[in-house]
This record gives sequence, C-alpha cells and structure tokens, in this order.
Amino acid sequence: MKRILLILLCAVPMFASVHVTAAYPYIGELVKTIGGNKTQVSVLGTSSSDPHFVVPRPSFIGVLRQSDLLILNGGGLEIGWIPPLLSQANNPKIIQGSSGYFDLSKYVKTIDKPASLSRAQGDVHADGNPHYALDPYNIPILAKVIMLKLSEIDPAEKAFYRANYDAFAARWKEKLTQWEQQMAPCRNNEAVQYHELFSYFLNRYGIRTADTIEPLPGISPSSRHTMELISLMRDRRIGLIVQDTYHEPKTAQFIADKTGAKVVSLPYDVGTGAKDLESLFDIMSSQICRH
Amino acid sequence: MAKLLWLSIACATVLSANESELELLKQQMSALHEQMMQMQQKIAVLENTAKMQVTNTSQDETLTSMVQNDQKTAQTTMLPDIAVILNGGYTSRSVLKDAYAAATIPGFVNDMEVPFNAKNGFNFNYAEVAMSSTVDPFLDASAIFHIDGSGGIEVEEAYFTTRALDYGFKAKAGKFKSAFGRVNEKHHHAWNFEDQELINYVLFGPEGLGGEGGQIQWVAPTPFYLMAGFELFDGNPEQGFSAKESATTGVGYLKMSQTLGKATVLAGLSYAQGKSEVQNLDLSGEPIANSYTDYGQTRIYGADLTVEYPLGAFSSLIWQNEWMQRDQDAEAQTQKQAGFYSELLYRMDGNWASGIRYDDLYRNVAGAPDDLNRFSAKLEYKPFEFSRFRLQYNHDRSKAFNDERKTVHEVLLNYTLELGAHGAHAF
Repeated sequence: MKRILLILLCAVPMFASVHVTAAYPYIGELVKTIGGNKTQVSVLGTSSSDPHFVVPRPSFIGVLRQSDLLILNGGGLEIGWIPPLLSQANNPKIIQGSSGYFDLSKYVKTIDKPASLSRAQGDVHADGNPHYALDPYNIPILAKVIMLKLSEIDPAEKAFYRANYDAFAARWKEKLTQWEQQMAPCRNNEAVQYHELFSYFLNRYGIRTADTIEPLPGISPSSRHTMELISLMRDRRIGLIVQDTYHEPKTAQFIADKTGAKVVSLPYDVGTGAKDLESLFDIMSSQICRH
Repeated sequence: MAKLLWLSIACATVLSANESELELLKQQMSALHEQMMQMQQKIAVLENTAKMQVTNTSQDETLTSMVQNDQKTAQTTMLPDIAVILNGGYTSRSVLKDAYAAATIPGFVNDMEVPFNAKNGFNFNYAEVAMSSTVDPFLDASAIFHIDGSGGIEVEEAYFTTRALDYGFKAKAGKFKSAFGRVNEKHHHAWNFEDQELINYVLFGPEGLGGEGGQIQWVAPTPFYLMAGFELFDGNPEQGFSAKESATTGVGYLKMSQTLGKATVLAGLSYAQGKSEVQNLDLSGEPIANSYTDYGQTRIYGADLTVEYPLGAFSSLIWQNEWMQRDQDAEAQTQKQAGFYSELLYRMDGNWASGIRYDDLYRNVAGAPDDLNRFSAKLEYKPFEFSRFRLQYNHDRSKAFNDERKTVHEVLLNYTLELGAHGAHAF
C-alpha cells in the first residue's frame, strides 16, 4: 500500500504541466500549438459572445485559482469582466504585476489610438483598437511571445516550445502568402463594418473602413445614422458590409436591401464557424474577397 | 497609367480604319491590362511579405527582455481608480413622505428608514465616490463614500484586502459589507431593483449586514467554484445584534457554482450568529448606559440559488432566489421569523431589460401577520454601458400605518450613471 502511494506521489510531478488560462479562444489555440501536452489550457471567452462583455461566470474563478499563467488580449478588451474574477480567485501567481499575468497587447502595434479620450465618443479604448489578433501578420508575433513566456515559466521545456514555434511560424508564412494572393484583387475597396472589429484584417489588405453600423463604439444603431450610412454607401458605391456573429444582423440586412450591398457574416475567433486559427483567416479572406 | 493606355487605344482606333487590326490591338491592350493588374497584386504581396520579414528578424533578444520585464511596466499610473455614481429619479407613492416614514413592518421593523426615493416628486438619492488602488505588492485598498441629497457624507465601505496570500486565501479588514447571501454585499447601483429585497431590509436594515470587522475567504482548488468565508463584525443593533461594546457577530458562508450546459448555477449557504442583548431603559424610557439584559443568541440562516441562462450574446434569463430565517432568543422564548424573495430577470438585448420580483415574509412573531408580501415589476433601458433608466412598480402589502395594514402602491423612475473608472461588476 505504502509503495503504491509512493509511486503515485512520484508520478504527480511527471505529469505536471503549466496550467494556462486564455482569455479568448485564439489565445488558447496558440498556447496549445506552442505548449502541446506540456500545458493544460482553459479558455474563458467564447466565439459567440461579445469579447468586451463575457459573462463573468463564477466557475471561471475556480479555473483562475489553479492557473500558473493568465494570458490576456489586453488593450482594455477584458476590463469589463476579468478584474472582479481575478480579485476573487485569490491566486498571487496571476495577479497584475506578477510574472503569470501576461498581456499580449504590449507586443503589437495598435491602430486608431484616440487623440483625446471622452465617453462622448462611445466606448473608446485608450490604447487603440484592441482587436489586433485579426491581423494575420500579428499571429506569429503573438506565438513567439507566448513561446518565450512559456520558456520563462517552464525553462526545462524551452527547446520543445521553440521547436513547436518554428514549425508553426513556417506553416503560417506559407498561409500568409496564400491569403495575400486571395486578398490582392480587393485592394483599395471600401467596406462598412458593424463594429471596428475587423479593422486590422481589412487594413492589412488595403480595404478601407468607410464607416460603422453602430454610430459610435458600443452604441446601438440609430435610424438617423443608418440613413446617413445608406446614402454614403450609394454615393461611394460601397458594396460590402462586414457583420460579426454576435451583433443583431437586421440593420446590416436593411442597409443591404436599400443599397444592394453584400452582407458577409464572419467569425472573429476560433469556435463556431472556424475550427482553428488557419480556417478563421481562410474564411475571412475567402468571404471578404470572393473571386 | 491605365487611363493613358486606354487613351492611346482610343487614338489608335480613330487613326486606324482596319477592323481586324483594331481587334488585334484591343486584344493586346487587354492582355497588357491584365499583366498590369497582376503586377500590382505582386507588388502588394511583396510589400506585406517584406513587412513579415522585418517582424521575423526583429531581435529575439528584445522580445525576450520585454517578456521578462513585463511586470515592471504593469503599473502605468499611481493614481487610484476613481468612479462617481449618481442616482436619483421621480417617485409617485400612494402615501406621503411623513406617513411613509412612520409606517411599520409588523413584527420586523418599528422605525422605518427610507434611504432612497423618500418623497413623492423628484429625489436625488446619492452621489457615490469610489476610489481603489493597489497599495503595495501585498495589499489592495478601496474607499467608497456615500453622499446623500442633503449633503450627508458617510464612509459606506473602506477596507484593504491581501493580494499575495498562498493556497487560495484572502483576508480583508476595515469597514465593509458582509458576503452573507447573494445580494447583501452589492451596492445600491448594482441591485436588480430600485429598492432592497424585503427580507434583507427587515433583518439587516438599509445598510445591510456588515460594518467594522475582518474577513477571511478561501477558494478551493476545484475545477468548479467553491468558496468558504468567515467574518467577524462589531455587533450592530440595526442588524438585530447586541448593541453592547465588544459584542461581535460571526458570519460564515459557503458558495458553489458550476456551469451546466449553457446555464450557470450559483448556490450559497450562509450563517450569522451574535448575542441578542437589549439595552435597558429607565422609567422615563431613556436607555441606561452600560446596562443590558442578555437574552441569549440571534442566529440567521440563509440559502440562495441563482440560475443564469444565456439566450444570445446580449440576452439572458436570470432566476434568483434567497431565503433567510432568524431565530432570536427573547424574553421568554425563541422568536422565529423567515422570508424569501424570488426574481426573474430577462435581458432582451444590450439596451432593454425587464424583471419581476416577489417578496414574502411568511413567518413572524406571535400576534404579528405572517402574510407580508410585495410584488414588483421593472423595465430598464440602458443607452450605454454606464447609464441606466429604470421604471419600477411596487404593490406593497408589507406595511402598517397606526397598526392598520394598508397596501402601498409605488411607481419609481430612476437614473443611475457611472462616471470615471470602468467599474466591472461581478456575476
């Protein structure tokens, strides 16, 4: 009996892995790719909810309590739901300021940083647009810093993380060329989005966002703004409306009916509609630039 | 460039009379056009690929040192987060202010305190100023000041919590609200309705259970949420406990939550115990200093259950219930009183929400009514995350006026505005 117990006790560290909690599915995907079976990944947000307003379920507290590393999108995206969870999880490893609190937004360049800050402009983010993960060129950077972070927390597996990263980066490079070719014919087009969610993707491939369906970030569509949008789209012959999966689709459809524009409903994260990161960008590029 | 080419085609057309030559030229031109488009695309691809090369060769060392020195840049400002919350509105009640303040809830409350929406007409209820910050690597602190319409300032809460205790522990001390039950800890602006749930009001008063004290909470290392907490407070007669100096109230609770399919279930059990000592009065009815009669103990049992079911990204159903019983040792026997509430809340979308609530005090002291209840309904409009307008109706059968029970009808229209620091609310 004693011997069995001893074996069990010795076996525990053998299976020990880094507990990582990812704020959003795409982060979870990256950690699984780099960390493989050396990490145990929990994901909080889902692809079907608004990333700004994930319901702070108490079950997340249990998950955070046992995490070695919390990886956030950052840029203010989680400010409405992570702080109370974090303060209730009583885990000093992952509180802000400790090495297990990892904010990815610090490693990428954000766009649309507001010159002045007032809530009269709606729900503006002081650090710029936080949906930077939808630029496929940012993904290898995120993968790399995650690789470096995992190596810092778990130095014994450094080579393993590096090898996984190298393989991923090489594969991603090929995909980038493929998406370039897919998106090239649509360069210099204009589009309308519901929320400035896909700006990084559109900007990357030279598609300008003429306006958004919501009058200001976080404000529901108004009839006045919708009418202005319709005349703008007619004047400028804008034929594309990019709609996300969690906002109401009625306004976009109404505008499309009036202007003849095409509504493209896109997933913004891995989950329903996109089984992994590659297919997420495959879907975005093939839907936005059909030819 | 393309325009120039097409222009030359046009010129060529005029100059040439030969039909077949024209066809040939057209073909050549369109081939040229095609080639140009392809070249443009290639340039774009090359531009982006060049950017990719730059990011790929950007020094690993720089990134590595950034990753490792992350913690040093975390604190961007030394100022505490400051939030101001404003609440007020318009009230229409079937009873005037003075009569309402003189009402009783038989068996439970003899001196009504009406902290919000006291009079018919416009009411400015409060401005709440909340400040919070990390103090040092080991402590966080918050102070919340409540300023009412007449300018009275009160420290609603002021406490510090630990940041770095191991094994899932956290300690808190100062003046704060107890985490007993489901709603006791929440501030007015986070309530589901404009007024307090009846059972909370009659047992703990408008401020709720809490005060000067200490707390320890422990989160279990389980895949679901399991939290146990223990608190000690100075006894407070408004909350049904001894008024004697150095009398303490002990509070303990257990909270559990699990996600079942799409639904989230949160359940809790709570218990509070303290001495029920009553200050003695002299013949003229004035309290005598340091003279108390010890009747024994006051025990409060609580159970709560919340089920949240998401219907969409901005739509959900919430069913929230709480039950409490108080066993209070009195002169001859132990008095048992109990009540509960049940609420059904429906969030239609990001802007609109509605809800209904039923309050019932079904167990009371001998000789007092045991059918005190209240029905409430509300409609909410949130133009933005930080502003809310709420219309509420109450059909209140819990009040008595000069020992005579009378139904009170209330219509409340209130605004709540949150200014400043982004206040994330807990579940």
